Amino acid sequence: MNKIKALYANEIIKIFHRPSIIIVTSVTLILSFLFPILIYKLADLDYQFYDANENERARFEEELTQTKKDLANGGFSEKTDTIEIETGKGTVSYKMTLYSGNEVPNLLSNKLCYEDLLANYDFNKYPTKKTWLSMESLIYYRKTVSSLVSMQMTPFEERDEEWIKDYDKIVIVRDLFRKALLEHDYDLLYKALESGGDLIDAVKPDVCRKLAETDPNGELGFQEALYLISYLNEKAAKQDLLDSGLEESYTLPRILTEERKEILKNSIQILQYKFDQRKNFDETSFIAAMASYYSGQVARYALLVLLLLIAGSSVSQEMATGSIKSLIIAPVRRWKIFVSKLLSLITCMLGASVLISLLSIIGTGLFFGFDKLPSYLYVSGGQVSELSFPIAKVLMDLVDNLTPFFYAFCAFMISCFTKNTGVSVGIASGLYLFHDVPIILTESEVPLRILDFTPVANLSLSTRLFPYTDLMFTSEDFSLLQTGGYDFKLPIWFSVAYIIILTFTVLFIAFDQFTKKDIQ
Amino acid sequence: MAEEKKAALSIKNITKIYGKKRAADGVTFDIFPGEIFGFLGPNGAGKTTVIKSVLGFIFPDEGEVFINGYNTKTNYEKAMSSVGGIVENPEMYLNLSARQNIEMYARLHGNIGKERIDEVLATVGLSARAKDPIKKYSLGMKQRIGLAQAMVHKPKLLILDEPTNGLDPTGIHQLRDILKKYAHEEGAAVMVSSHILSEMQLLCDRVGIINNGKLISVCSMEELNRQMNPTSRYSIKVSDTEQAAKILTEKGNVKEIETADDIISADIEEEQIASIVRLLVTNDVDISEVRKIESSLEDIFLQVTGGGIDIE
Repeated sequence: MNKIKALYANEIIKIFHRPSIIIVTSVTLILSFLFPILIYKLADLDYQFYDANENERARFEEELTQTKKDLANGGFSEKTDTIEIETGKGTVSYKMTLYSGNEVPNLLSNKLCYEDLLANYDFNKYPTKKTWLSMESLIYYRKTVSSLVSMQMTPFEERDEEWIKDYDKIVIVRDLFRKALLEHDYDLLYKALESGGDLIDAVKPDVCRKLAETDPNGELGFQEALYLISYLNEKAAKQDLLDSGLEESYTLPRILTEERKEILKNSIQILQYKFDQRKNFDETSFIAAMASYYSGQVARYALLVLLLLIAGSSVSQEMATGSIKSLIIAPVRRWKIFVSKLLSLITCMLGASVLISLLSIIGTGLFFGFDKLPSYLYVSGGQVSELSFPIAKVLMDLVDNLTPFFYAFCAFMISCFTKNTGVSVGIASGLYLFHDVPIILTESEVPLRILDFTPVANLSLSTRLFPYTDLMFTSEDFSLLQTGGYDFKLPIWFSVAYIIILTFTVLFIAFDQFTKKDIQ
Repeated sequence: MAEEKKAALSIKNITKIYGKKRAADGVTFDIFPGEIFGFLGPNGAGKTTVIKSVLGFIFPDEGEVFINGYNTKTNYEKAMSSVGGIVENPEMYLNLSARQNIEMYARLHGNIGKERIDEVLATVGLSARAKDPIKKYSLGMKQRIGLAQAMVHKPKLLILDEPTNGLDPTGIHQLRDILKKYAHEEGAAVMVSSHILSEMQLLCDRVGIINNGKLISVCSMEELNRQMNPTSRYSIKVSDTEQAAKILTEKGNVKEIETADDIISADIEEEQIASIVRLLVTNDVDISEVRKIESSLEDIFLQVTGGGIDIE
């Protein structure tokens, strides 16, 4: 044991005295620390959707003046006439207006709304951008006014009974949105959404109802509400999947496995928990999580280079320079030399992975605020539990890094064979870069699911061990962080056993090569 | 003398086959404490194969190696704990300093203090440069630091493959002194392979000659001289070679007389030389030089191996 300890200490000293390793390690660590800062600089975190100091009335007045000018410049004209339209009850006379000009629906609807709000709305009590209720009401009030203006650009001769019906329907909806806005009332908004139906592309009425339940006074901010809505929408989508028993795949819909059903059920529970607890509520929290996530992704490539360099040169570099001689002459059996090299490699793997994660967390926390880092939520014993971001991040990165770890072991094995660092690192890099080519090419259409037995499919354990990672980032605006990957049918223990057996095989071949072959 | 001691290195029937070539073919010899053993052979004779088999670089197909009584197959670590060596060139970790290299090697032996490291650095004259990285060292300095590393744990068997490579004449002289002191005063066994045969002649107590994988001869330098010089032969520089040859034939009972220029050479026993000189002088033959003729190690080596000089 003492010999292995001594060899191990020597290996660590050797690794960290190599200029190439020092450079790549530094780059990796700096990258993992600085990447969140880069995101911080790029993200406009100072942007405030709602400016408490803004004089909204003055802004509306200004915009109204500009809108009137634009309308005049666009050749706006208005013609009123009495039109006779055939209906089921006979011919009916309607007094109608015909608008024409450039950008009339947009400009005229703005003009009409601004004039109405300036005359009737209490900007001091409910600045329109302050709450989701007022903002949502205003948006759809303007949209419905715009729809009506658009309809009034239809030539008189093309207007018929159907046109009259549609127009009247939109008027009702417009009036409800207007009333909801002026009276700041969830019930009226609910009715408007219900009446609007397919005519408007807004949130579903039941989502509005749920928001009303959690926000009876209509104080919920617009951005915050978007998060809550995204939780509700996602929860509904997952419930639909669960009810159907099917989910989409690359080809035909696939029957949900018990594992997937369980994940869906838990996800629904977590989303409800997030809704109830109003979890990761602001944009900063989301961007912070994203910054940390992507710094891990970026640092992973640097980590791969670092590990391949260490693993690929561990044996071959010593063979090439001849420094292996002082090890062979020493009173230590070759298997101990092998074990010490392997242990030093594993130390570098785990150490670098944890260090990268921690630096990424520190970098993110320092700039975004440690309190902004979202917890990982999971279900245990029927209850939603929270894992703090630092712990979750370190563990998830370790699982994600299984792939670089595995290819580093491959480089180690190749290095024992070829005794050439360039070849070892080159082949292992190539294997890594192209390892998912079979999956990309075949897109799961391979019969008998032979891809389940490929390393790449089994190494992607992250989404299976941490199936609720995507829920850390839930936002309507961002879907790029939705974790996907290869859809796997075999149980997780299969993958774990597969990885263990594969790694042992690779290491056994390396061991055999190193301990039983002559060193010339 | 040496045969009665327990061998520091005992090589028994080492055989290593590469394809159809027998790089080492039943090589057997012992090296004893307190002696310097020279291992000679032409290129590809199997010298390095044998050394690498002893040091664990290659696995022989047949045979066994005992170091300090321990079989390297069954008691590898104990056997190797009393060996130090340099194979071919002293390759070390270039980015580390000389001291770090020796410390790392010492760590594998355990219980080697800083004082011993300082001592071996001083022995090889590199104390002042001990903190410099090896990549800044010349080949000669690497040889010295390699020797320091090989000796740091006071091995009972020191195996050096071409240790004079890169050393200047002063360095070679110092190395010779170090190795002689280490073997003769500290009682270690030293095995040296070198292509500088004159050096081997000055350094070694015994030599083993290998050719085509087979050990041809193992004997002490004296024995070797005796074998190659069965009779004592002298050359005498004289004023008249014809007169001298006549006197030696008629009155001196001397055989195998040869003359060349002003030199006459003949088989003369050591105890006869004084009377022969007197005989010539009393018969008016002037003598300006008397010299004993001996075969050099190189002559012997060429004779034994059939001409191929090791110039690895």
